[in-house]
Amino acid sequence: MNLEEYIASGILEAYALDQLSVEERKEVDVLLLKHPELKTELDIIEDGLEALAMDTAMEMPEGLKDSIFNKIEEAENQEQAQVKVEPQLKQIKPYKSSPVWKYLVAASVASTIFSSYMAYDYQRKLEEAEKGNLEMQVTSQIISSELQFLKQRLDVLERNSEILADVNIQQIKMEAVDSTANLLANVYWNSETKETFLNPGNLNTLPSEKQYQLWAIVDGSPVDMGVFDPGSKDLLQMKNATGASMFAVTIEKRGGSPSPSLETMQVAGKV
Amino acid sequence: MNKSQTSKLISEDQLVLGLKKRDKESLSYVYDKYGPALFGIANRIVKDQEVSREVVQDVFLKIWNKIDSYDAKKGKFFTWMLNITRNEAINKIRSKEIKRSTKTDSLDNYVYNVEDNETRAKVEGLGVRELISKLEPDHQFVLTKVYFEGFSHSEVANSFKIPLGTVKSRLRAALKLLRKKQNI
Repeated sequence: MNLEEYIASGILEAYALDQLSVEERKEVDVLLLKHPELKTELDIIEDGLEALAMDTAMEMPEGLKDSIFNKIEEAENQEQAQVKVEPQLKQIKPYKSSPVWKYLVAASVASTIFSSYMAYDYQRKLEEAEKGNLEMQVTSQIISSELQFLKQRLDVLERNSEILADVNIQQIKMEAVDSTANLLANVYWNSETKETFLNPGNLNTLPSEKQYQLWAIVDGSPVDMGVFDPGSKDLLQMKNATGASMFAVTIEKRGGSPSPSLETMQVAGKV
Repeated sequence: MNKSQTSKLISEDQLVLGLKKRDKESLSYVYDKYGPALFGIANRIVKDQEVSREVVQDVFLKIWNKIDSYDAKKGKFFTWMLNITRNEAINKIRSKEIKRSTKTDSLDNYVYNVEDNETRAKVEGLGVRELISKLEPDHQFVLTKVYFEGFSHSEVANSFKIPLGTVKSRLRAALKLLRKKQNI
């Protein structure tokens, strides 16, 4: 680019006098950064414009300066009046000599400030609440599921205690067949209703392909009472038993066997 | 750069700093130093003493209130004030619907205008009036219209059928010649 021609075009004067379009201005801005010569020329032009203005200055009208400074102070006082509203509130006392309108103004100012504060406070609380709300929802879900769990537990325990409270219920303690093993499980048998419940006690855990099976010995023969997994603390309702003289638990394949493998008998107890 | 220019630049920076700190002494100094120049600019555009007064009052309120928008990287402080003044004056003319004749009988009228009684009072000092009158009529015309009367480049170009590029280059030539004669 030929800088001399560019300068001679008068574009810098037009720039200084704010005569360019936004696009043209941006272009000149870029070129000014790129070419220090242009910036130097622009400085000369601006100095010239200033000198010309100074040389063609005119006497100022009287009172103009005061008028300008009065305007500025007026605006400042208005600003200050707005700023000072709050501290002034503390000074409001019910002097009887004060005209009523002062109270009305004060009251309206106070009410504005108060409601602004309330709005702010409300907003702040709302934000906090919204933040807290999520936590609360999660907590509430946890509580609700815990509650449901407890309710289920309670139902079970109530039922268990009902079962055990029945006068017809008979507890049959089944002890370890291998006397060195400290195993225990109980059968609760209602001889009236024939309902049979099992408390698995402290029977050992089993590989997943195995299950415990409860047997009732009726007339010397084992009768299947159903299978169960260890670990439950609740009473398990088994099949009904009629005329059982003994109960025993064996380890069988998952799902149970038609006849017990006696060598796997864990616990047994006589009625 | 000579010494006086350096000190002037520093004082300009200090003034701007003072204004940005809301220092009224600085504004008072700006008024005393530049007010008459700005008043001249306004008066030559609106051509009315009372309206010029309103314009300059608005200009100083703007200088006071908008000083934060002044960016020294974009130009000199005086250039900023000069353009505020020109814009305020032009807006005032538009709002008051003061009709500006863009018609001219002859260029001589403008030569005369610069030299008539009213303008004579405005274009005083250091023989600027004389300097202007010695410019080529074409240059003098564009200078008068654009610089003194606040017409935009395109207004002058459209109204007087002068190519926009020519308006620009003539204004440059006129200002350059004035600078030379003023030894700026």
